[in-house]
Amino acid sequence: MDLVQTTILIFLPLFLTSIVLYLIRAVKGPTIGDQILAIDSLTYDLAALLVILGLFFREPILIVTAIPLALWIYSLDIYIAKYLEKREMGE
Amino acid sequence: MISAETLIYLFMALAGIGSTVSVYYAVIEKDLIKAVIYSAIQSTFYALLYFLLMAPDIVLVYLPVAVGLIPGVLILLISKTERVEQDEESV
Repeated sequence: MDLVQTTILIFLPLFLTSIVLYLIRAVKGPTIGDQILAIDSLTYDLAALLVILGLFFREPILIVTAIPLALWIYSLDIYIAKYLEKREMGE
Repeated sequence: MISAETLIYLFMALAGIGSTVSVYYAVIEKDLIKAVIYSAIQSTFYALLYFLLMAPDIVLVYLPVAVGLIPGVLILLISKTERVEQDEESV
């Protein structure tokens, strides 16, 4: 195990802790904005984690999955914002 | 020092527990927009679970459907009806 893998192994528990904290805020969040912000932060954190795990396992095909994850969670923001603004979707 | 396999299994356990908790809240929630948000949390954790089980092709197909398509269609449906679910006695 070289230096890169050892460093990643040291920093992985921080990701574990942050995912737990984001999950608590996403479930408890008093308003819808808090929940959306929490799930956004959770997903961007997860995208970084997927890239780091692809680096850890030395398989470049794993890194591709981080791009649609960061892309499609942004569409959820647009849906919720559009609904809360106009009470409608589409049209 | 904690080993890599233990950390990966910890991430899997956290993803399983988080998705189960969010499914429970999605079922009992009366505000349907919040239920869609809980469903999106569950989809995100399932994507992490598929990634950790070394199936990046499943993740690439699952993400646009579960994070992008299903909340969009559900919010489009909610915008045509009422936002808050009624009790069975009052209907």
